[in-house]
Amino acid sequence: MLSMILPTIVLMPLAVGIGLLLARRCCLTDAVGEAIGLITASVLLMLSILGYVAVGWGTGDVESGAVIVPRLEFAPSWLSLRLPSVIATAPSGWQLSLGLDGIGLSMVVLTAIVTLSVLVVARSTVTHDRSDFGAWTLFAVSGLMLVFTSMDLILFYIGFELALIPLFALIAFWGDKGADLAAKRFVLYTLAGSIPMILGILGIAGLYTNQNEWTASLPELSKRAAASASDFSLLRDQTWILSFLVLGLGIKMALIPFHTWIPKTYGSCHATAGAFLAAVVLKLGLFGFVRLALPMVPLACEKYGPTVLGTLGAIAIVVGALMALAQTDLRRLLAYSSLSHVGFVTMGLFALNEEGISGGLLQMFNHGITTAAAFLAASCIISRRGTSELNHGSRGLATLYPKLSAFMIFFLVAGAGAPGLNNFVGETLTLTAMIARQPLVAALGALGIVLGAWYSFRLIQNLLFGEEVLDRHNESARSKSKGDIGVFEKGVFGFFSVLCLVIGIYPQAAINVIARDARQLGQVSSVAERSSLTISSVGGNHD
Amino acid sequence: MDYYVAWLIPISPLIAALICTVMAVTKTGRNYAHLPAWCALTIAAAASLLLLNRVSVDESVSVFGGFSWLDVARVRVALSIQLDAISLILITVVTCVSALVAFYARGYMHNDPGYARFFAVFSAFVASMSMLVLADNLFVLYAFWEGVGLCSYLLIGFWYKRPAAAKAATKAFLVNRIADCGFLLGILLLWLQVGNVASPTQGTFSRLDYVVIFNSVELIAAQNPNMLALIGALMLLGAVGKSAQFPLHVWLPDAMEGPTPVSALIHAATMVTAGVFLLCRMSPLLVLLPDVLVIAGWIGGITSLLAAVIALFQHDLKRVLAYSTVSQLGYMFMAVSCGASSNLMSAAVMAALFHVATHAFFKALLFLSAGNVMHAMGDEIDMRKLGGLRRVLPTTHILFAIGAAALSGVPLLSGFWSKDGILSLLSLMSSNDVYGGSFTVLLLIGYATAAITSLYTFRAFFRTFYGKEVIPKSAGSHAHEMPLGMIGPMVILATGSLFLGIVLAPTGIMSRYLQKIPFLVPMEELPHGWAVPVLSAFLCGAGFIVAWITTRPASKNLWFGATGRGFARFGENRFYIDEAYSFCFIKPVEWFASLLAAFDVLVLDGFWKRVSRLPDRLGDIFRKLQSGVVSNYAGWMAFGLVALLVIVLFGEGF
Amino acid sequence: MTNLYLFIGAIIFGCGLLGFLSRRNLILMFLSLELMLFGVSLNFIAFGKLHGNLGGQTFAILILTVAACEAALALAMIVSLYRSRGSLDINVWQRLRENDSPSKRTDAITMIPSDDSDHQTENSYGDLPKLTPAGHDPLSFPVEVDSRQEPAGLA
Repeated sequence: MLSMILPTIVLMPLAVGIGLLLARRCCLTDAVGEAIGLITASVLLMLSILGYVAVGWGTGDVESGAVIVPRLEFAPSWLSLRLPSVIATAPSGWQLSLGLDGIGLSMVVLTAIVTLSVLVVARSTVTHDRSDFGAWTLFAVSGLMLVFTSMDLILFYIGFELALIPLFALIAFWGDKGADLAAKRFVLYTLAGSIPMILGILGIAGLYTNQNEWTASLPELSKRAAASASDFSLLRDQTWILSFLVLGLGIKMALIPFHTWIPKTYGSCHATAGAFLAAVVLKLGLFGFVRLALPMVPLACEKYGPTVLGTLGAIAIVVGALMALAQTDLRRLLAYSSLSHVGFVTMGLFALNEEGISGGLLQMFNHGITTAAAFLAASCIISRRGTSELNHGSRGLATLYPKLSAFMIFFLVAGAGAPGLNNFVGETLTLTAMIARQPLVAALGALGIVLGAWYSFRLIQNLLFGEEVLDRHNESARSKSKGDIGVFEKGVFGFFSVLCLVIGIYPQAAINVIARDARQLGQVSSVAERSSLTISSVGGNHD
Repeated sequence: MDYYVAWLIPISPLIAALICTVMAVTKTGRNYAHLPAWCALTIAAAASLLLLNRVSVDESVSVFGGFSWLDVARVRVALSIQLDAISLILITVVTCVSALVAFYARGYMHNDPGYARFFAVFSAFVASMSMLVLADNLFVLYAFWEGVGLCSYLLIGFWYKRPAAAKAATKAFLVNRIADCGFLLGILLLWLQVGNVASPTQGTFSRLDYVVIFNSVELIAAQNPNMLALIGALMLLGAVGKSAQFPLHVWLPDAMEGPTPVSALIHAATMVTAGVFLLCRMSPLLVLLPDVLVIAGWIGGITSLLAAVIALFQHDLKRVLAYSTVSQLGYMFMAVSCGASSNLMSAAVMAALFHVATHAFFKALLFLSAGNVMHAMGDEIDMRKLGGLRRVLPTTHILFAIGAAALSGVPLLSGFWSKDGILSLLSLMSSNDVYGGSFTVLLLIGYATAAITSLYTFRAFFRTFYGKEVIPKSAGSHAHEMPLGMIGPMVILATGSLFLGIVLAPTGIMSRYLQKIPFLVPMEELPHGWAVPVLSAFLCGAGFIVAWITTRPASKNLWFGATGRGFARFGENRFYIDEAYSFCFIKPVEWFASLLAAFDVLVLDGFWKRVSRLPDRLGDIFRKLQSGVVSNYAGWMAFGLVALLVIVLFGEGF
Repeated sequence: MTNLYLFIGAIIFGCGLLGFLSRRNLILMFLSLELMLFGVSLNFIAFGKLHGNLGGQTFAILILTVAACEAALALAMIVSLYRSRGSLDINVWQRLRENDSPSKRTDAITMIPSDDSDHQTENSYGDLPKLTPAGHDPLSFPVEVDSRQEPAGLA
């Protein structure tokens, strides 16, 4: 019965989102639509918490030898896919299914939290069509939830693409001038990534075809992949698949050479939508790596992960922080800082040991929390200042809006990796893991703790601290000038702060959720590592 | 029993911090925020005094387990308390001084709008500092090391409306972060090495408890000496940052923008000694790396002399004291460096810790006295704008005198004993076979610094309290002596400054602790002779006399007359070190960042834009086919037909 | 022997193809088309003979029937096209070209000038959608006057 949560969290936001969009055109007032959106998001959060409980109870099929083991599964007959038997090698049908393991769960919970907070903050920061804003957000959430809960390649890909359309609307309709171009750019950029992505997915399906028996099921595929984790004849194919995946997923998660959609998109979209983008949409790419790259192509990951991708992660940390330092727009600064934080995740995941994978997964969640909170606080700040430019407009906000500034400082400090807060644990774990694999890469990444503090604290110094300057020339600042944050925002930010603190002080609570999955991923990688060590030593003898 | 008492030390300030935070946020009972802090710090101080005696009697190291903080695969970190001679000495100093400063702060921070916030962060600082000192594990030490840095940031930027305070806070945090970055790398590398030694076949990580580390350092030194040297150097970098040593000393003088009790506690007595504490903690590791220790000594020597010279030319009383702190921390570094001869390591650690303890008392006293001056003068602390205050502030005058005397090493006061310990060690080391040359120079630097210390301290004293009475306008009419609530704690500090040395050093109490310093070759007692104390007393006297002569109104031109004016200007501007850093490091990085951002937008994004034009270009080519002429279409059709025919007929080979 | 029929069929088809490609007169093009059709029909019959069944011949008869219908329709269309433009030149009908393709109308042979060409133009093309040409950003491309609009009178 609990498994009904899964289709509900996927289909409910979709139905409500589309319903709201249609109803708003004929019979619904904005306020009612907004309320319905908020209620749906709250139900979603409750359901995901229920999912947390259910996954805690579930055991999953531990003995199967699979790496991806759903602990809560939903595989009804109507979700099976029947093909006309034209292709002789195709099976008569594929059983598609939804399922949750610890990793998916952490992302589902994160998405639910962020969605509700975004919608709550949107009440005061979004100035028009709040009902539609909520509807498009819920629409996007549906795609994200589909990705996070899918247990097969097909649904994964559908969800991956489904989220794009609503994101286009979110960016284009509520952004600054020129946001429609930025939105178009974002969509085309990510769509371009979909081509290599689908090639990679097909490659995975093709690589693990046993006796003409195809499968799309992730647990089954991961089982076959784990069984052949020491078969070096697969390395060439795996390398191809990995490079396709890196191209496809890299664009989505803004891996360093493919990140250039970031400045335009974040620089012109509404900061509240930016919170959603940065906190969860960016996770699609990372999640794709966790689901498709690490368990499915372990040998290629072993060969290129710590060196190439780990280095890219470390470069992202440093370069992202440096570019954040050079920004003059609050949203773009946060976007680049998020790029820098995601570098830690990449570095951790591709250290390919259990510590690194746990650290990376933990940091994925942490980054979602802190970035969403920082973006939402920035959204409140921007709606009060009337501009997100840092060089002009009001400053010394700590005096003008003490509570808002206190929260902003808290989240920036958390992002800079202050101890006792969540990012400290994740960053340290990923660095620890990387130093065991590539000490120099880790040393490069460690520079991030200096640079990360630099832009965060300079932002605090320039924008929040200092003499208060109320920009009288900026008409919009004056007309929109509100008081300090209201009780709902306080609730949202307070909740985020508590979450940061709890994970920072007792990280084990978060790590326990993902521990089992991280261990299984780590085991596959260590098999691959051992076999490549053997191969290289044997090869050395031959030479 | 001891278990609970030990845990009281970090936990009670933590609870106080929580209560004060709630008070600050909810605005209830804001004016009583000092009460929880007072209670907690008194409890912590009492607990540490209670424990102080146990180690000198019992076993040298005892660990009290706590809770498992992080447990991922091979990374296991638990929060536990380790009590031994080093941690007990420092924790006692930390808790006692912080309790006294907290009592003082009630009066000083009175009526400040951020009253509750102040005590919240203050208590949080004490909690972090206690855990830093008491940790049994290098990783936990690092976590709280960052924690005290954060508290320091929040307290320097306490008056966030002042741009100078905001800037100083950012600067302090960032300079510390540079050092912490290296420190973290050092910890992680050590972690790796210890793991390799502990289980060469299986694990890459192990527990990072001190006991585990020190049991395996010798093996590491045998297997991988270069790596160990790198680790030691990185640890030293961490210590240099936190203890504001050259070249990372620039943040500490600016940190004086914080409230004076903060300067007294964090930026004089406790947090800045964390670097020295780290070196003492890691002494079993550093003792294997004499070269690193000598570097530490040189850093300390350069810093102590440089800071003392800069202090000579400062006009801001608090800045004089800040540079004095930097200089004295350099002394402590020199003390630790004497461990370059391995049988002297425990004495070196003891000498450093002894100076930490006495310095905490007299420097806190001096800062609080400066705070009194500042409070009475309406936040004016520039010695050019005030003077002759001994009638206005009679008690403060005496207290400052005691502190100044202790700092400059007037015989039989606490500073004299601890400085004597360091100088004796240095003179002992100057006859060392290997490093004798270095230590001879360091000894000379030590003597020179001692003389300059006495000079600037008494100059500041005379300029503030003697001469013509000048009271700045900002003081208004309320230039008065401080109430008893503020003077009381200072009197206790003064007592400590007067008698701490004579109680501990000649009576042999020191030596009892010395024998208990863990993981090192034990020593019976600190080395001492007659020549060193006599010489340093003489230098102190010389400094005093010069200070007295140069500050007399009649002899104004004696102090760097026309010829020395340029040098004085140089000193007033702190040798332009900040400007040099700004020019050499900060600006280039910022330029580089802007360059990267421009590169990102122009070059990289331009490249992808080009790529994205590719479909358009292709379309542009093929759209020419759409000529609208039916014959052309038919022609292409025919061409296609023929091509198909060719492929079908002759395409077998393809 | 039957190969010869195949050759003749191919030659007739080729003549038709060449004629279709090179002629501009609608009626001649249509005649060429018919020629191609008959070439193919001949081949059908030849192949039917070759394989010894009647399928080919049956198909050829079918083609004849279809061709007759088609000829009727096509001639009707040609007549109506001629009425609208007064020309049998295929190049008069170039409306579907890309904007920047050269117009062949200048050298189009018109027999009689049409007296109601304006009216006809509107009726025939006014309802065609105006699309952004390929190679241009639809969002940023300025909505401009359709350059394909025919001039009022014919040259």
